[in-house]
Amino acid sequence: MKEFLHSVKFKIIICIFALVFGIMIYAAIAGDNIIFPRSILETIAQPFVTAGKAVSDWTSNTIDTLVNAGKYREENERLKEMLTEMYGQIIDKEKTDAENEQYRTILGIAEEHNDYKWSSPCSVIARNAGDIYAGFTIDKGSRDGIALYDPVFTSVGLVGVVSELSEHYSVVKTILSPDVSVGVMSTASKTVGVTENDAEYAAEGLCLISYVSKSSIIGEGDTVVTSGSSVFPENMIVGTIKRVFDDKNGLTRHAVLEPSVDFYKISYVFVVIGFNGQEE
Amino acid sequence: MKYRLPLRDPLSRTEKRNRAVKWGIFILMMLLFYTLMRVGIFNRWQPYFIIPLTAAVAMFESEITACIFSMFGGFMTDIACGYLFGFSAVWLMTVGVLASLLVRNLIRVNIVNFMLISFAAVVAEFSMDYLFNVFIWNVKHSDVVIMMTILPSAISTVVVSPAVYYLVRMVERRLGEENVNVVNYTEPVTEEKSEEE
Repeated sequence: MKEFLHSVKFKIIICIFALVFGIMIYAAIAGDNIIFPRSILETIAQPFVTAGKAVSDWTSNTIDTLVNAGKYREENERLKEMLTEMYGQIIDKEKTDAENEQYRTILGIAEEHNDYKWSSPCSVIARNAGDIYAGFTIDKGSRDGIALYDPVFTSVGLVGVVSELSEHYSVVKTILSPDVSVGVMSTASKTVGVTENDAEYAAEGLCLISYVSKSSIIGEGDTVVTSGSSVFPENMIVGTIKRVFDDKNGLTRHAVLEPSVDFYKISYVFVVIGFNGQEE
Repeated sequence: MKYRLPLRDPLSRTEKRNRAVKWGIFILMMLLFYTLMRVGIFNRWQPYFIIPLTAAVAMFESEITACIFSMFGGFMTDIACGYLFGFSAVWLMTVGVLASLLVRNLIRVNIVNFMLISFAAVVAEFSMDYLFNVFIWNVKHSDVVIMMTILPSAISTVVVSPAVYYLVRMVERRLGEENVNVVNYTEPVTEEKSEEE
């Protein structure tokens, strides 16, 4: 061993270690910008990941169809019955009609805001391994007009923000991440709050809203939208309230939000690349 | 008693071809394992396939080769897991170089020794992940992070390790040079020379 420590090999290994330390420090200083060596490796590996994702999706769909065909047939029958029952309820209940009207209004918000500039549909090309906060990578980057911290949506609601940016792809952090805070508002009572999540709620696919006024009228089932900021445009659906509880200090309340988006199942997203009031 | 790099005979055309094919296979294996880590089919039980791959290759190769291969393995792990670029590379390089040194000086290449080295690599990687990405940031409910992601991934990585070892061993037996456990660093090269004379 002593001979090894004095050998040329050992000196070469020390040099390699120093190089890797240097790269790591460079990456740390670069922050959210993807550094050149990483960009090269990702570019080389991306075709394999894209092909692997396609194979994985096809295999899981095929297996799912084969294994669960009977279950889906039964579920289909059951859903048909439920649908018939629901149609009856919709006709009978004015309340349901009013709620539907509210949903239609919210869904129309995007059309009303002509100032929103949307990206073309972005495909989810990879997921972060072992990420409890469901982060993922999309196939559009700065070349497509996307910038850091642009908000990301699906047709059913807010997903998160662009947290890392490259020319050809971007990494998205979801609203499950503690790093993403969103100002939100209940559509029914106009109660405002801020998402401030942690691992415990993220593990259940939920999101914690903090700083909710003690006097607010907010309850289970309330629809929550973005309240608007320099990062997130206003009135975009985030989810629904699952439960509300008082903070330990007794001054404010917390609400547990069930996001409208299932982060583990999305395949396509849209990025809002510009809107009035966005931080330049 | 002087440490010297062992002199080798020039490689024949077949040996050169075998070596190229072997490294082609190892690179493909790394890309395949990286892909498996990124498609998300294992959810929270995601094995970090690259860790046992670098450990296995390190056991069959020289220190510098092990160091470089572990460095790339670490970089790919960092990209797949969203860690700071170079973070895993440092730990995997350390384990790779130590594994190669151990095989050349102290232990033999077999499944038991491989599992011990692989386990050490898994412990190094995941404990450093917990320390630098969870603990020092005082992440709330860090126990949930351990139970829901770190521990399942560590267990599944150890479980898949033997399969990775046998794959690497198969490639090494068919295409590798039989140089493992034959290099002796304390070999008195100068004395041998004088004896030959």
